[in-house]
Amino acid sequence: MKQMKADVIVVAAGLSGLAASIAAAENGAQVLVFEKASTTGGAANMGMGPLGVGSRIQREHMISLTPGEAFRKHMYFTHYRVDARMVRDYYFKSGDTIDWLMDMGVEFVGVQRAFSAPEDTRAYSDGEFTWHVCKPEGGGVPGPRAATSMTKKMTEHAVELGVEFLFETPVSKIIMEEGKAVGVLAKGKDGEEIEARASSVIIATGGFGDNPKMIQEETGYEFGKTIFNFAIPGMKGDGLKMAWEAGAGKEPCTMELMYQLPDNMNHFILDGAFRQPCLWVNRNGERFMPEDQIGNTTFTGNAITAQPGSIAFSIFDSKLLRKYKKKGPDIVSHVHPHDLYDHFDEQWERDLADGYEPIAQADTIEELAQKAGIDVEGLKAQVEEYNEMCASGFDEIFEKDRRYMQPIEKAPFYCCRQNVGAYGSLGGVKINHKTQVLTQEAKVIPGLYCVGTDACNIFGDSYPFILSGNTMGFCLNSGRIAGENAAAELDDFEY
Amino acid sequence: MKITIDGKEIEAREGQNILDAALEAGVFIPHLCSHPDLEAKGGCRLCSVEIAGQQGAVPACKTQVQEGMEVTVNGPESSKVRKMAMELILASHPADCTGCPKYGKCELQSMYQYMGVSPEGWRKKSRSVANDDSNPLVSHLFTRCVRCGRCIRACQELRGVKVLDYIKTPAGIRAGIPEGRSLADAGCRFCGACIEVCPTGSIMDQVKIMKEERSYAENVVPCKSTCPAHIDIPRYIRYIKKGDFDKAAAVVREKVPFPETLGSICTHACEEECKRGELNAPVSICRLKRFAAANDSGAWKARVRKEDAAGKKAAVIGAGPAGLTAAYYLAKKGHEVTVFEKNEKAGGQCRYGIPAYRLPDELLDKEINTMLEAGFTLKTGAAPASPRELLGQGYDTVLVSIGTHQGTRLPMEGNDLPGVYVNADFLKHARKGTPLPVGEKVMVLGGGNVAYDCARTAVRLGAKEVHMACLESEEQMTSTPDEIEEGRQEGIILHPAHSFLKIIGTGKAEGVEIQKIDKFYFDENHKAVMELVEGSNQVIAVDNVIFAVGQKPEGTEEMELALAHGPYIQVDENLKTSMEGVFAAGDVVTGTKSVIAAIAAGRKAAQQMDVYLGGDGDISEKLLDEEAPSPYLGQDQGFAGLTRVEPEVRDASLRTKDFSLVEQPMTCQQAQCEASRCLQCDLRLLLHRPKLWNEY
Amino acid sequence: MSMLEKIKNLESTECVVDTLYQAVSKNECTECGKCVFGYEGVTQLQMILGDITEKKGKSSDLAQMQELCEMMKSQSLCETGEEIGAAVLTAIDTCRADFEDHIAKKGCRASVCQKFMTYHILAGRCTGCGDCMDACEDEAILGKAKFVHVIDQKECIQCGACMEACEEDAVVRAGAEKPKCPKRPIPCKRK
Repeated sequence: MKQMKADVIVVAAGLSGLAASIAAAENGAQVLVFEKASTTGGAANMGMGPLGVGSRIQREHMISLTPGEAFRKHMYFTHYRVDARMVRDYYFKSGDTIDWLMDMGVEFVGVQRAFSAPEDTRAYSDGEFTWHVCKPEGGGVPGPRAATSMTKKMTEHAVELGVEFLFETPVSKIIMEEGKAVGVLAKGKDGEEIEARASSVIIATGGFGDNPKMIQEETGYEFGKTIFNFAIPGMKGDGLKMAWEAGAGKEPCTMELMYQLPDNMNHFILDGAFRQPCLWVNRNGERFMPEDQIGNTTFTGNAITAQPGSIAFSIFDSKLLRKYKKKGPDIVSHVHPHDLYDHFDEQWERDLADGYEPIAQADTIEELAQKAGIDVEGLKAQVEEYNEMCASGFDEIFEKDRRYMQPIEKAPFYCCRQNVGAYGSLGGVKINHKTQVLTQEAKVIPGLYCVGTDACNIFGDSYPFILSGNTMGFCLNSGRIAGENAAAELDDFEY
Repeated sequence: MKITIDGKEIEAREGQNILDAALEAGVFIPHLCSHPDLEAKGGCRLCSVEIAGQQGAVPACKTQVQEGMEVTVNGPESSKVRKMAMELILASHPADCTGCPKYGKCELQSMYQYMGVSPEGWRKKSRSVANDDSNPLVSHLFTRCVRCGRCIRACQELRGVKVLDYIKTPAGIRAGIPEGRSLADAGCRFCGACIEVCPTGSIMDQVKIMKEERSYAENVVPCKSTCPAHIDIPRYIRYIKKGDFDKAAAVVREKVPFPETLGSICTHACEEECKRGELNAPVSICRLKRFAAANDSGAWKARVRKEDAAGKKAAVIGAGPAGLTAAYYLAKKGHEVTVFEKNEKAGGQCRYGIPAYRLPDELLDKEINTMLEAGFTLKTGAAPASPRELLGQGYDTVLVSIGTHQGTRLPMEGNDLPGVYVNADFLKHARKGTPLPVGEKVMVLGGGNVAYDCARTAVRLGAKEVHMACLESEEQMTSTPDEIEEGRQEGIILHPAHSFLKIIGTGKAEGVEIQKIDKFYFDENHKAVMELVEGSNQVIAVDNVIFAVGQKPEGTEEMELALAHGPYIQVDENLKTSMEGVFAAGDVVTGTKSVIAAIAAGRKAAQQMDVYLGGDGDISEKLLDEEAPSPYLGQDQGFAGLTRVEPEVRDASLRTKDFSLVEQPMTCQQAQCEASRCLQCDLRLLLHRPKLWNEY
Repeated sequence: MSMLEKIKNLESTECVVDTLYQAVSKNECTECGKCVFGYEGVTQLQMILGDITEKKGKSSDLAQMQELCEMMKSQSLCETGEEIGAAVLTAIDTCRADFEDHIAKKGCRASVCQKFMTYHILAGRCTGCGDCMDACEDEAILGKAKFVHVIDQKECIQCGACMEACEEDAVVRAGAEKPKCPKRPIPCKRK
């Protein structure tokens, strides 16, 4: 068995692990990072940028949101059911963290929000300008994956600071001695066993989005049945399992909900095409939310979860389809291609021929309901009622925006099942505001920290989309807090 | 020669291209379509560089080095080419990486992380293709194909299998199999080279064969990693295929000292994991090992480890596979080793537990004699002293490897009636030529391989009607399917899923009462739970009953060692017992397991004891030269369908008459034919993995 | 005829953008896939040119195509990619105004690109029979019996179905110059 030594060991090199490593190394610690994959950045490589409140750029853009305001918004969103001290420390650090990144050479195109509420609900839930979107190298428009430019700069900076990365080397266990974390056991890609020791261990493995068994056990969802979340390979819950095994207390785990189609990457056109404020019903054929709100993926994901079988159906008729083709979508998504409907027929025909199960087309509402698995009488009655309301120009049930009151009357009819999706898991390991791991009785486990998604217990039951960039924001800031604290523990001065 | 890259002088070889020279010297230049094992084509242009004195950018992979060449990686021209090339690739690659199984291990992802470019300025193209998971080994997800052609070059040129090619589809050009054929129909050899070289998630190992608890290399060659002794299985099978039987035997000998014994009776967990098994049936690994060993001339002996005398003495108690293996390797390390065996012959369970029709005495004698050439002393018929006494007698270390030789008698009515035997005694007497008397009808209680050994031995001893009853259903039984089938051929009447209530008889065993089980399982606490079918009781009239429900160690209580789970010796991860200098290994620690597990434990004991005695613990041997296997496989149309060669088995009516061997070794032709079914999963590990930017 | 020659010898009834789009779509590069600049380059050209012919061109398209084609000229694996790059560059150089007209949504000079054409009903010929209205799937025609029918240009998708349906030859197709027509239905003069 190969023996290694360091001051601080970081388990996984995703965004939170990178932040932790840099923060620890900056404060004089010798850092060893074990990463299961062959690249750094983890799930952040898919994202566009983190949250920050009170950054230089925000001030330049006259965005006046203060950390305290963000704190209060967050606490009202979560009804004070989460650790207020952690939330406070996070938001008050987040602006400085953006500056910290910029000093590393990370560039941002500006500050955006990921969500803008329709006017009638703006008062309850609008997005704030907190999302610092990373700038692609050499300019250009940022899109998905833009945050790779940030993870790259961070990796380079970590290496400059002497952080040592071991790739394809998963950690299997935290070594505990006398109730204290003293190191880890890991295995190299060729099977070599490694025992590494350090004063502190920081767990940052990114949750269990790729572990159907844990999803079922911890959240009750069934992967591939009641939930179709992003299953980023490797997110097996390693960190949570290791932490719990080492004595960590448990916080309730949640899934970071949204909605999507099964295997959506191979059906991306349809994934986008049906995200419209047309007619949305549940399995009984009944409407269940004002369709003008479906742009809010968190709320829509929650709403679908609450329906029978945790599914919903999005339905439009050929007249609406023609309209979308001609004039573009009613709700524009920043994720899907701009010319969705130009490719709709091609993908629709192919998927129908291949028997892609969530979709159905029919010439009558009865047939559509049958094919899609919706209650026939229920849907017929609902369509009739809906069409009447369209004719009168007012949604008596949900007061949906009248611009979208477009009847479902011209065959053929199109239907696509919508499933609950999620970005990944959230939370699970009990920590304090210093990101130290706690036992169930809230006693600190010396030498053990947990950060990022593994310990993100501050969102309550839903992703706080009102403060955009929150997932990456918490990863960065909790990682940084842990790195600083772990390095501080090393200080034993000689006089 | 010397060239400079970005002002840094590096060494390059005549005929090398700039990219290879740079990467070799530790200077990173982005690249995607080139691969260290494949001929460069220059299609992706990510490796564009500028050369002093030349206009424009050139691909580094297609430009040969010249003395004094001055190369700039990130010049204005080359950067522009590289950036646009990457943007164009990304513009038609799926944007949603989170659903991709390659996430985190993807070369394309690493490359765009390095370059940080975005395709947003371009029009996007979705070229989606339905995933094809119809093959049990290889998953095709060509929506992610970037047309780098690496898989095609690997398949066409490197392997010569010529299955993959550029194909035209309604969604565009991509890598694939022409004419819509399946991999099997197209003649795929399932070598996995395409998977290995694919820089994206387009061609992947099927998720279900990649087990999480194993490392990457272990997953790629599961036979080798599953074998407790980690015998290099693909390597010896390759030698058999080539007709190089001596080398094949040497490969096996590098890890185990009983190759032919193992080839006859191994539980071959390797075959359960063999990837060939996913296509049709696993390679007959175990029998090929037997074949190699049987055709071994002993050429390996010239190269065995033989270290100078170290002046230390070691004692081994118990000459079973674990003890003999440990003694064998300790002797090679220069230690003076004595093995004490209380029976008259060495071999342990191989000698007294496994019937002769599976493993004849002569074979065992031959292999043990070969082992003795390593130079250790074997004292048989020697009731050994306790470990403490042996330490007192001047031995520096002691290994306890006495196995599990005491059969278990279940606590039930009539279990001590005359005519009721236990497995260990029954088999041992039969093996020694002094069989316990057997009547017309016999009932064996138990469902493992040992139960079959007892039942089939009873048949050979003249019993007319042999029954077997066990708690497990036929699917749950731990005995191998082969064993169940051969037993059936020999007329054994199996009562699976039955509970044994009592043994009936006055003065001697006369019958067994059994009852059908509805459900049998182990609960969360590993406790057996049984639900019986009411009114299904029946009594089977028999003359003898044999318990074959497990064995345990004998005499461990008197050894002054800490025990666990009853009579088993407790050891730490280095096989150390509670007494300083005393080690334990094999079944006496783990409970009854396989011979191969005992050998693996014996090797580990030898390593640890050598370290304890001041050695380096290195017992590895190189019994033949390292030879790189040919990367070329060539075409073989019917490869996927090649059926498993089954060995010749004596007819049931003949074999039940005596204890001679049931199964014949393979002929050379059979062996070579079977060996050619091997997928050679290890070949792909010899391909070089391109280093990512963060590894420079 | 090579692409370059085709571009140089355009008839007045041929549109340079459309001709180029057709030629690019049939180009050998679309059949190969071995190099990024050839295959992905042609894919982009196809999408950009296609968009321009469909009135979806962007002001940045010309510069982007020029940049791309310069790369295709020097970085393709074979001559096919180089040639197509050169042909597009020549076309942009020689017929820049045509491209700009399309992109600025002004029109297609050769009246080839469907999306730039509009359909109109001539008031003097319409009998108010309603055949055109029945044929229109987009409900883009306004009118009633014995009234001159009018095409709602906002709803029209230029499919041409009305023109085929009209037995009076009252429906006409127009390029840059549009006929004068009523804005809303008026009683027919013609019986």
